[in-house]
Amino acid sequence: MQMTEDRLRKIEQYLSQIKLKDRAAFSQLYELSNRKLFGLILRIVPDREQAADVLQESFTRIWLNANSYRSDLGNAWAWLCQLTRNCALDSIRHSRRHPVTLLEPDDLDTINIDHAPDRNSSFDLHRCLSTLDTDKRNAIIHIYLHGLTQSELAARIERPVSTIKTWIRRGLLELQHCLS
Amino acid sequence: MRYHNPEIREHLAGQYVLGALSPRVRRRTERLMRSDKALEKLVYQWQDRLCTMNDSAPEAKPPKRVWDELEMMLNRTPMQQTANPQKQLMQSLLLWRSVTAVLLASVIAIALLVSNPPALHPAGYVALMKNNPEQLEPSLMITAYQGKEPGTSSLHIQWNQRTEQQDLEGLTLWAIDRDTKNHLSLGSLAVVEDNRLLSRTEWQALKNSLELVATRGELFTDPIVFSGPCVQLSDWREKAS
Repeated sequence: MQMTEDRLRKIEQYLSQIKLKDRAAFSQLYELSNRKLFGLILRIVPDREQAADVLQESFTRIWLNANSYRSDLGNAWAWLCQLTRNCALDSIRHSRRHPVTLLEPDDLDTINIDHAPDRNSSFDLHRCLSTLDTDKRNAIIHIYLHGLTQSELAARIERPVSTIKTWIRRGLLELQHCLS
Repeated sequence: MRYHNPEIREHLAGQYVLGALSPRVRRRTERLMRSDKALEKLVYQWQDRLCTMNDSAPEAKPPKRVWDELEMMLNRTPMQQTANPQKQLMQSLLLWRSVTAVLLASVIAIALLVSNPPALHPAGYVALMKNNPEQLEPSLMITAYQGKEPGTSSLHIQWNQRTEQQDLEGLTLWAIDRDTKNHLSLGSLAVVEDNRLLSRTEWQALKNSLELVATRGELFTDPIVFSGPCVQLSDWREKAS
């Protein structure tokens, strides 16, 4: 199921209710988003049992910390994804990393924008990523999607860590200019 | 402080969202965000910018135990969280201390109420909802209050005591824009019966609305059950002062 505009609006509404400790809204939010968030976690934490623990931890934090979400600053789905990714990063960095299969050398095509809820912003990101050179683009995509550290990425592609750091710093700067 | 440098802040926010920071720097960034609203805003901007990459993740079904354990977490009382007798004793002492504190606070609150009437919070918008335009009296009133912070504005329902209350389960509330006549869902009407917080987008939609409509079902094209014009109220305190 895709993240349609309607689903995004519901997520926003449920999160507002969770701030009031509404259990029904929490259950509905879980129903609506658990599969997507579990898929997102599995890209960073390939072990299903460990990934399930991460999903549970993420929803516990959503229940406890919903009040810290600022609806005036950004969208609820992006907030949920970031909270979930942070839990996955904590988990994978506390345990021995399982090997993850990196995407193909040029990963831009794997970022599907056809069914994105906000096709304009999705298209913008896609367009701006495509303006980066391949090394910078792939470093950003690998770190974001798989939660690799800069050292892990350096070891995998056999490049110095300082090079990866430069790619990330310049890549983010170019992305920022392009997107704004 | 080096974090006051705009370039460093932008870079920090981008690296935080990307997941490229070490755990130590990430925790420090999270602490900074709590006190530095401008940095928090930059982080939200990067979250929104990069989030569309998540759309490519395939969905996967988690094991049932995840929801079972979350439900247990919701149902768990503080006493059930630990089996340690010493901790239980400490918790029961804390419980009694809390009960005493609550009682004391209640006494103080009552005393304050008697000496100073509460500052009433005026409603911002009201819609009197009828089943049909010919109905003599509205069935219910929907009231919107603007919160002090974005995301804290709320919607409330009050029934007309002289008409019969109806089950609101399965009804969806919509705001109709006064200029474009476009509609935006404000979600389940049954939820409003308890207390419903509005996101900034929803509050804006309500502010610009000509009319509120409740449909039976989740689609705007579903049968209309209630509708009523939405009016903006002036602050009666301004007149009184």
